[in-house]
Amino acid sequence: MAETILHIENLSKAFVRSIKTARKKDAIEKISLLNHLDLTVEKGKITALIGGNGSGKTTLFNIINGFLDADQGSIKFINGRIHELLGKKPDTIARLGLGRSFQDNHIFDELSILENMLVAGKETFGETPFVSLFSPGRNRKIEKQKTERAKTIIENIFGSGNYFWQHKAEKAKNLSHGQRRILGLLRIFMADFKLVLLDEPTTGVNPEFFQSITDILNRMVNENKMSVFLIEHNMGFVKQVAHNCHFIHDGCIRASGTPAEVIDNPLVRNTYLGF
Amino acid sequence: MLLQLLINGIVNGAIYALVALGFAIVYNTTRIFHIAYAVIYMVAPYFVYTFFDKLGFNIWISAILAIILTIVVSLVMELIVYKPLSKKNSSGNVIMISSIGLMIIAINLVALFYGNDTKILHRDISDSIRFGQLIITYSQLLQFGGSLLLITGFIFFLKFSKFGIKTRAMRDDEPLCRVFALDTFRFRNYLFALSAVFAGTGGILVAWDVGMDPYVGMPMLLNAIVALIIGGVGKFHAPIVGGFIIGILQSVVIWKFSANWMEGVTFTLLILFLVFRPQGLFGEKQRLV
Repeated sequence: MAETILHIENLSKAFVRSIKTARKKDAIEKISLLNHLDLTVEKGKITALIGGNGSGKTTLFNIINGFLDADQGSIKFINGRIHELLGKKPDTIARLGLGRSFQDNHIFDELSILENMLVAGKETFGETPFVSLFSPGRNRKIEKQKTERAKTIIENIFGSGNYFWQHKAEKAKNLSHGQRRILGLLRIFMADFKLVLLDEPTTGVNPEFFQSITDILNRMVNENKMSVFLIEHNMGFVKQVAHNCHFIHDGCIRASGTPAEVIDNPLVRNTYLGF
Repeated sequence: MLLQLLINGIVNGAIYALVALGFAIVYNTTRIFHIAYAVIYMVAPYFVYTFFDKLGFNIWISAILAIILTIVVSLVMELIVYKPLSKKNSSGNVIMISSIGLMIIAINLVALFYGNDTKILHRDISDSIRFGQLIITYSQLLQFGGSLLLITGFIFFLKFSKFGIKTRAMRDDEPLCRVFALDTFRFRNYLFALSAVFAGTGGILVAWDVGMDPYVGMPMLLNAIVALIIGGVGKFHAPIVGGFIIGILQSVVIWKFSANWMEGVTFTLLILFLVFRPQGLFGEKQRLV
């Protein structure tokens, strides 16, 4: 039995909204999105989560990293010690070693490529204006180390003389969608996360970048000892990179196993893939 | 005559730029439309008045103590009003209305303690330097120098320090900052403190020249907001340029027409910008879809 890094038990989440009924009375409509969901993510593996639109994949990610509250259940993050994640703030969870990417491109548009890399990181040094102002020596040293680190990370993937490092002073908003996507993934290396949640890493990306993304994910797991939990709609990509796969439907996990097993599951074929 | 007015305009513009930059520090990063910022600008000289005129402290010590107290006022606003509202994900309008309420309460409190009348910080006429026809008072030099020092200092700080990078990161994408372990609410305390330094310094410098009453904050805030909008929301150097444009424009208006038209022309400029170039001078067009 492999080691577990994330263990979710009995997790439920409902969105409540008030609606006007035909008789003009206020009523409450409850949409139950996650229903007593249980899920385990193994340490050092790439785990994929698949499921239809609106099945709660991104909501699950938002609950895990603290953007949303859950109604009940528990999320245990095991990183040396066992941490209960429910009720913690996103920045606290990030400090514990859990990072994520977003479905749409979230990037610091007005920051340069290098600054985008430097700003990621768990150390809080330089967050206060006074320290920033009065210890420039130490500041510069840390900055230099981080710049060196960013260079290594980029060169490990793309070799020396690559596009990103040559254009490191360029503002990130000038990059193409696929390049921004990749910058978002590279930035994760800077932060020493133990588990990263990736929300559809290949969406809207030119297939020529798929190989780079695959390289990055493999490097995260093999070299940097991270665990990856990703949402993906591209089944070919899931088969290629993932070790484990979960299928979410009607608010809970309906099928688990290797990607091939899950994709061949009749329920997955009928309700999601449709062939 | 024109040159003299131009100089007056540039000095006023420096103050507008300073105050607008303080507003931008809060608005660009937190999206809080901080109307109560007018109070920050207004209370700082009252603190100086207390220490300098009432208690007889040295002027520099009074000014430093006043800035510290102003920072406290700013943090109290953030901690008791903005932070709880932001944590509840209140809409920007709710926060703005609360901010207006906060401003009215604070103005009334100041009026209660100090009275509604105009107070002046010192009675002697400011010395001046003459260059032929031109007259520049020491107060004006102080206003210009003080503003310029803070503004350039901040711009370098923003560009080169880690705090600056994090401030710009927060301007670009707040949730992403949280994902990368930035405690955004703690960071906001520093931003509110910094904006209080800007508004407080501006308020003291102006009050040293012309005195103050509890209602000086709002007109200055409106000018600062116009400076921010015509410069371009979301950019830190934009309100500086906007501030100087308004300062110089107002001087020209006083010269050509009369001081009564000053505000009218400022807001005409605002509306022209909102209609024809809503993104401001330095802003970029937003994609519609």
